[in-house]
Amino acid sequence: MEQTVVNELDAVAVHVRNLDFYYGQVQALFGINMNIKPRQVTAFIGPSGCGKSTLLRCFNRMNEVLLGTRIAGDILIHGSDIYREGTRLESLRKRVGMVFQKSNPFPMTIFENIAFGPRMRGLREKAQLEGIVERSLKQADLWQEVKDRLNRSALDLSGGQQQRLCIARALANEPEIILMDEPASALDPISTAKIEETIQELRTNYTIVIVTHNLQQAARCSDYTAFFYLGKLVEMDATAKIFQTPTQKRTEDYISGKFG
Amino acid sequence: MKIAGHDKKVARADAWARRAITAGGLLTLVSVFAIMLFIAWEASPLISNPAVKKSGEWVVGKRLTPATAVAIGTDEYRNTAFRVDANGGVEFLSLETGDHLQTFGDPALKGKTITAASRTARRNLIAYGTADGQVGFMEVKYRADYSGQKRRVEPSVEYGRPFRLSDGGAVSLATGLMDDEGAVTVAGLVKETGLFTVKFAPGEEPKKTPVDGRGESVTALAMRHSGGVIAGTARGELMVFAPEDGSYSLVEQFKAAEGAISSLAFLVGDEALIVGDEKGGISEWFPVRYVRVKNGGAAAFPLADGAAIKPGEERELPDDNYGGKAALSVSPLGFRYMQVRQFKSHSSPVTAIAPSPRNKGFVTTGADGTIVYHYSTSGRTYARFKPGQAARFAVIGPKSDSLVALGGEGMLYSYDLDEKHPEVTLKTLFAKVWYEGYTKPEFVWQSSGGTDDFEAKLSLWPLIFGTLKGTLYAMIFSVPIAILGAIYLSQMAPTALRNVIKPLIELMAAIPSVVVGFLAGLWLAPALNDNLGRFFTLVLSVPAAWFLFVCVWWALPHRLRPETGGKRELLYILPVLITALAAGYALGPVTERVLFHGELKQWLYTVMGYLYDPRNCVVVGIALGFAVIPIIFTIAEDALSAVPPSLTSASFALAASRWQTALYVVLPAASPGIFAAVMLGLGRAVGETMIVLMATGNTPVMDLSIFNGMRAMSAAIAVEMPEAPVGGSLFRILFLTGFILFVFTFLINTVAELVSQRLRRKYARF
Repeated sequence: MEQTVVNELDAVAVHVRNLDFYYGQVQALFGINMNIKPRQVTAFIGPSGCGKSTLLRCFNRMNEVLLGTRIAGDILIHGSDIYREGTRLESLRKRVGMVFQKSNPFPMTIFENIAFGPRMRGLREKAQLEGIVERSLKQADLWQEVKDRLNRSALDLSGGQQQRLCIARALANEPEIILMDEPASALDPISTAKIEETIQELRTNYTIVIVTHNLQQAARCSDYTAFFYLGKLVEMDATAKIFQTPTQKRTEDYISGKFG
Repeated sequence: MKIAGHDKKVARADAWARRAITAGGLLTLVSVFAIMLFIAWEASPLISNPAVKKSGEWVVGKRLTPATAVAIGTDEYRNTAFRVDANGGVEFLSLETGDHLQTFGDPALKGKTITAASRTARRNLIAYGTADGQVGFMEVKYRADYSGQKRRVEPSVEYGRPFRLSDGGAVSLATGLMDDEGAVTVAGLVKETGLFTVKFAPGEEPKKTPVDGRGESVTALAMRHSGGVIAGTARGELMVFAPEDGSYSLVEQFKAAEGAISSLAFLVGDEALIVGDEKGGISEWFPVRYVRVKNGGAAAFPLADGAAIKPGEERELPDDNYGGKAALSVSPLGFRYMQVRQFKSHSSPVTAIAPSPRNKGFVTTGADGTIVYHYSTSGRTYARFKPGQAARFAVIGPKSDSLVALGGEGMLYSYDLDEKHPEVTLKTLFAKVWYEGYTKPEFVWQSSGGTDDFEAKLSLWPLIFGTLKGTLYAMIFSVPIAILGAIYLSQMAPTALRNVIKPLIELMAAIPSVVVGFLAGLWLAPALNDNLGRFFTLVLSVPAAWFLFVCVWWALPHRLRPETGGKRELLYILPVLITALAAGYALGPVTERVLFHGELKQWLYTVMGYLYDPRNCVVVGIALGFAVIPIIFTIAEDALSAVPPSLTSASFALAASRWQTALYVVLPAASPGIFAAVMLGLGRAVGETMIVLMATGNTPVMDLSIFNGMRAMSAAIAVEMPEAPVGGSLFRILFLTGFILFVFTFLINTVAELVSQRLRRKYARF
């Protein structure tokens, strides 16, 4: 009995139940219910303003940086309710990392950027930090390009490199889940391809949720796809199924480019 | 067509705007430089040295027989000069033509020969002694007559009745002075019978008093108005006599020169004694208060010069405020002469010393006829020249703007003395100077005094020090408050609070500094003075309560404490703060009683050695800090708020707390702005005038203690400029002070800009 419960929880990385979300008086999300599977890539698609980024930001409670937001319903990450009173934001965000649409490296060296998260958690040992930096950069496919200039400013990197640096920075915290908010939307095709490659390599170890406007990207690199429309989850299923035989008319219309 | 017309219009407007903006910018630059140039220009004459220029020479010697002058002098308007001849006659000579004008004589001196004479600098009082042992005096007076078209100066001579000092030989030295009641005292030396003084009081018989010369061979004499007689001896010693029970007794005898002392004179004010010797040396001596200091403590007492008084040891030292130090017992010893400085020497014996009647300048005459002009305060020798004929006498005119010299063969020389600013040199402005009445060289700012003989003390260090000290305390007070406030408000505070507090602090900047200064000087200073104990406990209790609160906060379980940045935080801290304030206020008197034996001020003085001055740097720090806080706060807050949210989001997403984000991400990114804010605040504090003027007490002391005041450069300019005679030394030095302030601000802004740029390159690329 005990065993099955654990297995059941283990089978769901993020469990969303009846989630409503408000920006002040405006309701942005309506009764969302979904399960995100661990060690899979889940893509959120939908037209602008459909609430996919908002939902993503609910998973690490980044919406609370803004004032006047309100939430109802539950989000369980690996079984624990992240909106429970007394939840420490720092420990939640350690478990749930995030990569933003626009790369945002700190005006520090590459090394310091990657080591930022571990340092904030109190890690001071140089050798340990060096290990983390190397591992994270390797995971993000950046190590070969920057290993000789770790002490140079991260701002000297190209846009694509900066975004991969941000991925490496998130990985340095050893999160369970990585949220990616249109991580390649500001990048050229080659850089985008590299990011997608990185995502493919990361899926074996991490649960990845990616918001994207690029349907090909969703089709290429995700295992599951969720389609949102006007704050509602219209349909969620295996990517192949969504793109080939969607059950909902809206999904089909969107995917075939009838609106967007 | 229409579009082309429109384009032309735009182009024309563009060209005009460009011109107007360029002109405005250039005008700003030009005016800043013009102001700087003007200030520098006004201060520049300080550098130039006094100059002596000949304005006339005449042959005057042959008219009187015997043509042996014993003294010379001149009137205030440089119309006439006079010379006193050995027969007691006083001959007046025109300083325009060299013509003989008038001669006065005294029947009582008929057939006698004057063998010694000296003239006082202030009045034309000539004390003399004759070959047959008599001493006496005469006073040359000038009366200006404005009744005609032109000013006419009427000279006259009043002779005093001579007094027989000795039946024996001739008087070989004579000197005299007149006190405020008109009584004249003449000191005279007759080789055979010794040294005496004779007091000629109006309406009384002359009174003769012996001076106990101990049989020394006296070669020069001088007198002080306070009653002392100084004699120089053939052995190069000075003997100081003081009146006591109907005679003068020796109080001090010391070596003052290598050769015989040939000439002695006090500068105006009777403090500085100039000693000239046979070898041509010229030195200056001050009477300095001495004390006997005994160290009754267990530890050695360090002295300023690096030595120390061992426990139980006794020393005689110049009085340097040893009183008030618990372990020392101090007893006064009276004055002793100390050599203060030496001047460039003559190549022949110094025959005469003539002080300026107005300032601390003097001329010396050598046996070879050379005339040299020196200045005491600066210790400088400004001019050295030899008239065509070797000079026998040289005196400085009553206005200190002229010099008259008489050659040995009867030539009269007149010179313009362009003194400019003899008391101001780089050394007197920036190095320690030994002023009259001081026990050692010091930095002193005291631009004016109660009497005419006042020696101006114009060292700029006390003012520069004062400005820096006030700025330091203001920055200590304001920088932490302003920057922490800005961090809290931009990163932690709820928006509602932020919207109230930011405009409120910006409003602080609009309060006129005179109001702040007024409140600081008239309310804060007395309030602090009366409640020093309470202030002390408040300074301790508030941070202590805060610290305790934070400790308890961290010990609380997570579920009990609200998220940082909420309003509830404030609700928790406010009662704690109010309690701490109340406790500090209430505990003040008790603490004073228990810890400080009743009164903190008294304790500071007796135990710590700090004298509490009601206008002190606590007041200045708070008041000046109050003026600086809005500047630093506003700019720092803007810089912190300008850090892009993408950076803070990144930090939050990496599991950093609010505090960590503020400290490690926002603060470095905003550092150029924060640095610029601090530097701007510094510039404001350095230049601020009204507050330091009203809150500091304006005491130009060089003491870093927080419990006394200071005088800032800006305040000195404001206070003293209205009193400073235009073109005078003080006037120009105040301009120099302004120039230094200008340079200070310039440097601060330049450094701020350079460092800011560097920081921006490093941290603020977003």
